[in-house]
Amino acid sequence: MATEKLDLLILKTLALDPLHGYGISRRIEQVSRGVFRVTLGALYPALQRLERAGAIKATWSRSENNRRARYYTLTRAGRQRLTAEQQAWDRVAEAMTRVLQADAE
Amino acid sequence: MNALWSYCRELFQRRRLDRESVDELEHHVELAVAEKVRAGVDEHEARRQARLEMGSIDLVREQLAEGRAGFLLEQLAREVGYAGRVLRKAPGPTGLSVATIGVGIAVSTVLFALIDGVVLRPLPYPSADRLVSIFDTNSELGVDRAGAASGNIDDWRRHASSFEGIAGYYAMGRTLSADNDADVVLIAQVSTDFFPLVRVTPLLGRTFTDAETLAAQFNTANGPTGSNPVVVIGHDLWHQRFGSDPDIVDRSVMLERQPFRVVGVMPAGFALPEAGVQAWIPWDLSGERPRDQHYLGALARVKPGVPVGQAQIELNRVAGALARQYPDTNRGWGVQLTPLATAVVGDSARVLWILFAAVGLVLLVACANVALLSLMRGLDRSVEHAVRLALGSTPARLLRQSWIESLVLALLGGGLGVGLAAGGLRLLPWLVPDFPRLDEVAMDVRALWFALAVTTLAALVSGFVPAWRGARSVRGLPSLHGLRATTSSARRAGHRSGGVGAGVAVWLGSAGT
Repeated sequence: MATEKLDLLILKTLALDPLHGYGISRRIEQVSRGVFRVTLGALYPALQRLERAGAIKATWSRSENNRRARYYTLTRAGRQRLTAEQQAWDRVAEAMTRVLQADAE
Repeated sequence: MNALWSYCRELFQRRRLDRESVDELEHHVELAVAEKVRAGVDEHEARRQARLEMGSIDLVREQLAEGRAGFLLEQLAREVGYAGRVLRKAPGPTGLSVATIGVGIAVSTVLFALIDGVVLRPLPYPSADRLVSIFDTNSELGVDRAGAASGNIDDWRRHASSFEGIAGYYAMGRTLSADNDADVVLIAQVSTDFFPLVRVTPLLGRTFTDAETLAAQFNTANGPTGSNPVVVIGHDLWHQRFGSDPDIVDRSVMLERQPFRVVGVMPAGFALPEAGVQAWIPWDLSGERPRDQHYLGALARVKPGVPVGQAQIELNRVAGALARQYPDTNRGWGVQLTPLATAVVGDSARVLWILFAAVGLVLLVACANVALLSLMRGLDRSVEHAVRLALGSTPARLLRQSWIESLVLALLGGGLGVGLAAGGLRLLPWLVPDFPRLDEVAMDVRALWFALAVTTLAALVSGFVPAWRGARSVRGLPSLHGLRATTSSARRAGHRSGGVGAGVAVWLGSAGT
């Protein structure tokens, strides 16, 4: 999966509430009805990247099975980025759809 | 600020961050397994599935480590450490390589310091590039370099407009005594323009007034005469004979048993008009003087913006006029202007450059020897390379490792070389006592930069062949079949050690000349 698409998915997922890594991958998988499966090798480098860019923030706290887990929260910068990237994506998707449908006629 | 903080954290808490990411990744897998178990899968099977679906934790862990700041640094440190262990395992060849490179770097650094201090650096006087020495020439008599005649210098001064000043001087050893202690010191008697044209202000007191110069009647045969004679002394004389006495000005010293009043002290390093001069007395060159006795030194400052060649043309025109005016003494005499730096350093510059080139060759041969030694070591490394490749290392990493070994060797050699060079430079005044400007030669920052540059170069040159050969053997040795080939390749090493022998012989030969 292209990195920007994965970044957008992660940002969107975290917009609702803070999650740990596993939670993020489960949420993406569920909401996409199993279309997107995020591997460890894609997810964690992406989280590291987003954290470095200041779009998300990581904090340690207790998870549901009472283990120490790292929870990721969207920062204000991350929220702005989400809005911008979502708009850009909407435009691309809309354009794609239009072109593809025009082709079909 | 925040970015800086996390950067530092990544740099200095690498181990902790790594542990945290392992923790996080394991937790992730745990949760996935737990979920499968809840769905009714057997735990063992659940683990297998999770591993298949999610990939290896270790790979991700490495990926994360690579993404952190300082990863390259850490890797470099690890590889340098590894190179150190490899080199320590072969102390003989390693010691020989370090010594070879060390001597090469030491010798080239000493020569650089010499060339830098003697040739490259301008003389330590204000606008020293405008200072020239003037010599008399006479092609009719076949004289291409003679001293100036005292009778001509005043005419030069008055008629040539290309100069800010022209001074005549004569240096001689004379007995200087003070406090019942006598020594022969080199004294220069200098004409009016001398101190104004060198533009060096005295450390203490002053230089000569015009009245003092006019009053000075110094006869080279009979010694100084004249009323109330004065002298300016050099820093070393002041320091050694008078204990840096701050009240030296107006004290009296004896020159050839006649009292001279000290009017000034020149700063350290002032070595004009000649190296070693430690006292200056005024000399009046106006009026009629002999025009046919060519024994004076002449120092001049060319006006800013006037090319030295043009100044020489003008002064030759003046000399021509004098030849017509005084045909008996001046016919055929012209002048030649030499930049002071060239006049001071003389032929030493050429000798130094030739030596420098020779030393460069020696260094090159030294590098070649080190490369050959590394190659010999490289022979029994092919198995190790194959093993490392099989364990997931890449040819690029092996190459880098080979370069790093050369770099470590060169750095050790460079350290040794700088030490040797610093020692050698201290010995120089004792080895070649009459060399010009030697007091300006030192192991300074420029010499250190040079040594560093040469070290890097040596690493590149001596690392090139082993790396290149390593690359070839990597391509030719993709499997572990090499394990059995070691004995035969050890036998093949014979011709390479022959090469090493030849290299050492060339090196010794070129060092001996």
